[in-house]
Amino acid sequence: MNQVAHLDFSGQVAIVTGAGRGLGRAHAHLLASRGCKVIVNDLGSAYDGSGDPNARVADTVVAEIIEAGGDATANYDSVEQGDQIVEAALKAYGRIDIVINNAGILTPEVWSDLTLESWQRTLDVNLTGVFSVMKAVWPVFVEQQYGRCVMTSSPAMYGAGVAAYAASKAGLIGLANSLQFEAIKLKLDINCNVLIPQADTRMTQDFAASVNDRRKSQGKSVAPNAPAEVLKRL
Amino acid sequence: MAVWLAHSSCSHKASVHEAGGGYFARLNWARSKPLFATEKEGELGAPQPEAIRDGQNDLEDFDQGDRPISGDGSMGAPSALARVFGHLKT
Repeated sequence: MNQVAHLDFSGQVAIVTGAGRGLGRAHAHLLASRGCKVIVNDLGSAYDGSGDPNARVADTVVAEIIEAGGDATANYDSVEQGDQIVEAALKAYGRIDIVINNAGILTPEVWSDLTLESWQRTLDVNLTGVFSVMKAVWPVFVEQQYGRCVMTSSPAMYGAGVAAYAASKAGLIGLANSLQFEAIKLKLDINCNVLIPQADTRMTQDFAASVNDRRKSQGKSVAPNAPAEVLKRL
Repeated sequence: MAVWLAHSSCSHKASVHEAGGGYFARLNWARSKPLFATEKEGELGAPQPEAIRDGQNDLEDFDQGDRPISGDGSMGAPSALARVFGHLKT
């Protein structure tokens, strides 16, 4: 690794939603490694929103961060109850500087199978969930006259056969633009930006598998932790 | 990328970035050269669809367009209307 000055986040507090696995977990680890206190929010549900809501994946990530010398607190509230996540963060650390809106669900129905119920559920979590968190954290940002917010959009919004997911992810760009407009109007140092991960966790696994296939064909050793390596580079 | 966007020294506002596996890129809005199909001298009335059909070269011309900034309000209707009024005056 190059010897470069690390970005310093000491004294700052970040909420990372959906941080129990995948990208959110990677963001949480990276922020913590730069001195940021992290609220590791994760319901523990599966990629499509189903599954055991009591799965405590956030605890694992918090333990990993603390093991590595960082500071983190687990939170299990749904992004649809953003006020509860914000309240938990303020209770734990007294301030919030950063919100990485990463939680999202992907319901895999193709257009011909897409139901109103599935469409609505996707928008509820991916778009209204971000609204809920940002609505709750906004007074904190305004009071501090400072905040950084990242929305996680998706290349699916360019068109990839998952209409509800795509619409929710494109909607986040309009939401980010509107929050930025509010911040500029208030003349506050609050920035809202959008990240389009060009590799989601499943994609990175496929990507890693193809890399490993290529390495095998070249007679090289297989990288055991390729997905994690890719995630770190996002 | 997410961590950079979260840092106090990052001044991006309403920017959109792609990231994956060490690949990074920034997206921009691109607006074509404007096509004005409003009233012309001696030819009053609403713009006709034929004017848009015949103006495709302008709408494909991004070299003479601009890159509007989102998030600061400059990209919305007030600016577009100001352009039209400016055009009508000339």
